[in-house]
Amino acid sequence: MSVVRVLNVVAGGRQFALEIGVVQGIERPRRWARLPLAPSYVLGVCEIGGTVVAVVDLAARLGLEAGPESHTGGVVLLDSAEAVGLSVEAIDGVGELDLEAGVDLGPTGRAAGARGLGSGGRILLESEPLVDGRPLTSLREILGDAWKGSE
Amino acid sequence: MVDASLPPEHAESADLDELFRQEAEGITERLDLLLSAGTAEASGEALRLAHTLKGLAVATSTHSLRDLARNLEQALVEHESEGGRPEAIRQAIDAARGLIAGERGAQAAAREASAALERRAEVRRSGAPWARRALLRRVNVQLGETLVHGAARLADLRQGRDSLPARLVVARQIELIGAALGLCGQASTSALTLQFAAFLSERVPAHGGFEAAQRALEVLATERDNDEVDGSLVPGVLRTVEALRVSVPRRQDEVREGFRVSFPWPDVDDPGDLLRALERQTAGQVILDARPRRVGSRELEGELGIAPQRRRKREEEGFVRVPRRRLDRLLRLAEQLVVAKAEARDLARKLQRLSASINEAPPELHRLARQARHHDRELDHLVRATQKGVLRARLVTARSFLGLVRMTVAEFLSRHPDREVDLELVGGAAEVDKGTLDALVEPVLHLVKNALLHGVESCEERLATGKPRAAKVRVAIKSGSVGVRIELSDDGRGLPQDEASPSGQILLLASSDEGPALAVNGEGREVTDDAGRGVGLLTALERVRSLRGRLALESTPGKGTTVRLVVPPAVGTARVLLIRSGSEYYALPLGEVESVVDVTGPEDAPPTAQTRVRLTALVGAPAQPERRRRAASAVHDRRKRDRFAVRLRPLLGDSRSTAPLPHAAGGLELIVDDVLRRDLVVVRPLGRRFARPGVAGAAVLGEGRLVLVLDPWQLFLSQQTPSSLGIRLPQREDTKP
Repeated sequence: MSVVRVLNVVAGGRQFALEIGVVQGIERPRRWARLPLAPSYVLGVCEIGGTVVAVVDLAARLGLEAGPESHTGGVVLLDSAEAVGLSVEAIDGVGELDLEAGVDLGPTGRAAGARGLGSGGRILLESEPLVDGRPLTSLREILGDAWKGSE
Repeated sequence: MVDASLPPEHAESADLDELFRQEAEGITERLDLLLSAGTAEASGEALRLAHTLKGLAVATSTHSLRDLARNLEQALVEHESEGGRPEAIRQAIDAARGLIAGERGAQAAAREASAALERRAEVRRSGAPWARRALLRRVNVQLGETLVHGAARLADLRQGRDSLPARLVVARQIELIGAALGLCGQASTSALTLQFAAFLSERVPAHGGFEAAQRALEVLATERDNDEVDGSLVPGVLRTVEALRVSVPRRQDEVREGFRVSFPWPDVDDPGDLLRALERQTAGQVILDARPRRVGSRELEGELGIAPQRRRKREEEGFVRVPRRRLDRLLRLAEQLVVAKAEARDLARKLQRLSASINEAPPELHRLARQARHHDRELDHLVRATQKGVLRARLVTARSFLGLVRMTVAEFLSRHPDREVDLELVGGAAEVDKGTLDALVEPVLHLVKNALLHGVESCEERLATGKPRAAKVRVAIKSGSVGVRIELSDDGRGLPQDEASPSGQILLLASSDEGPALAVNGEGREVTDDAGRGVGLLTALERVRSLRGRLALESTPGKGTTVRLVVPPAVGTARVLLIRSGSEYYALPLGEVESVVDVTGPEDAPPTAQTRVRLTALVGAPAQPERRRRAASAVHDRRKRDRFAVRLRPLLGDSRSTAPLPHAAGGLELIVDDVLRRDLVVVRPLGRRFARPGVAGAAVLGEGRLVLVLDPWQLFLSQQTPSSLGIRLPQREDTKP
């Protein structure tokens, strides 16, 4: 891995990054409906530009406690097989993440929804595992001390 | 030691061979056992073992075993999803065992087993719509080429310059094409082609034969361009088949009713097989050499005089071919127009309130408010008309769909002369979204085949039980706000009684991940090309489930079976009843609602025989953050609760019927807090990944609110078990000696 352009987001009070290539847009939808009997991390569905988008709460999906809401929060629309978005507490803009000095988490990390740990402790997320509905392994357990270090 | 049947190009030692042999033998033994177990885990393990076997064969360069193992691996992948214990897999394992043991003739057996597995894979692939279309295109190309010969032979016949061998060759080619067309689902074209082949193979046609044959050529040349499904020419095709039938009296005995035709290959159900046979007969040399002169299809059309007429017709009617994605894009834009209109209406209302609230407001403000209101009404009318227009552009009639059903029945009867069917097809004029209709072809044909093979008795059996000689099979299709409803019924023997519940009378299938689903065990039933492995019904259920629909089945031994299938609109408008449950709003398709009863007043409706359930119990409580929950419950407490019972139309048949319906399946009432109004909404489907059982889609209301459109029956069934549904099966009637 090397330097990747990322969208920096906050979920559960912690810094994460999403590779810019998987981000289709950022929205703050006004129309919502709860999805009955959906997993607890699915916030519901919203209407964006004539499409019904399912929204996953990133913090809940990663098993984190919800952090404080901010005016920069929103839904990050992902480039996925179906219309889906990630709800985050804050969006910190676009930046670069140097993974040379970081850790490539490999398949184990992907099973937890993370691709690698960048310099500065930001966690680069792997988008598809976050929205495919399968159980995720605990990111905290995989990262171990690095998790504490990234706090 | 290396056996001759296992040429080990790079085998280095006898020890290695022996090791390989032992390992491979162990694998085949375990494969056999695992397949007999029939569980999902066993299938997975078998797949891993086949992979290992392939690896061993590659490592020891035993090519024949490698090829066999590769095909076996592929077949096991399919086996995991399809279940059962296909004969081709068993043969492949036997052949692998023979190869490993170095038995005589093992190489030939392995090649045969490999070919069988490949054929099996191709059959599976040919079921896919894209594969079917690709096959159809190839068949249509062959048809075009062969029609030229048909025309030439016809001209020779007419002018007394007949060459019997050439005519028979062409007749045989056309016959093959006809069979392949039938297997591709081109029902009426197949019938016509087969009948035309029969005509060509006759030496002396009856009076009027040439005219009928020429008409057949014209129709075939036109139909050839239709690579989707048999189109609007079906009535003309049927008339032409009839005319050809009359002109070839020898075939009359074989045609009993309708346009049943003699299907020449009873053992083949794979278009790929027929294509290979066709290509063997026609590819390259045969067609080109037999052709007296090269005549293009355009020339043929010119000779037949149909091209100008057809073009004129298209120009007159103004048809254009539009890709479906463009229509989808138009529909999405129309939907966004609804949202924009809702916001414009909101502004108009605010303006009107403002003008009314200001004392001595300037007259200009009143005038603007009136104008805004007027434009809002006009916009509302235009938006609805636009939506309706775009939706109509996606609709096709169900005629061709029912034509496929007819052909399936005809083809089945031609192979089962001991059975007769009085087929009734209803709803050909129903207009259905093309995508939905295409997706329904496979499951419905599965159900039709199931009904014919397992439901319909032989004439002899029916007469012995006091039934009419011909069985009644009815297929009805209807399109409405709920979506597409298809009902398939027969008066045959009904489903076999469940051994575990010997008095089994009514079975229910619901489409949900966790809900009740009845696996019909195919064990002990006749396994044929048509059905019998018990997977047909489940395959149909799976497809219906993937379309977010539901399938209900009612069967009475000795009296018949009825299957009802409902698929919500892929996209489209629906008339809905808006309701409130707690702090949430939902929409119920009006087609599902029988009545609404106020249950709060002193004249509360008397208890009915229907099941009552609170909607909140079905949709679950919202998991909101604490601070939101407090605010929401404060508002909710001030609102009225449990005011109305929405009575749903029964899932199976008429609620007033005396049929022994399961309690819950007979009727259901949803208790809701409020009923707001009726509305027309555009239903947008949820993605499959997040689709929940019982949620048909989402819709934006005029005021801009997003609501979920529920399929209440599916929502209810998805949370029940068969016993909780009250499926109490009546006792078996005493049989008199």
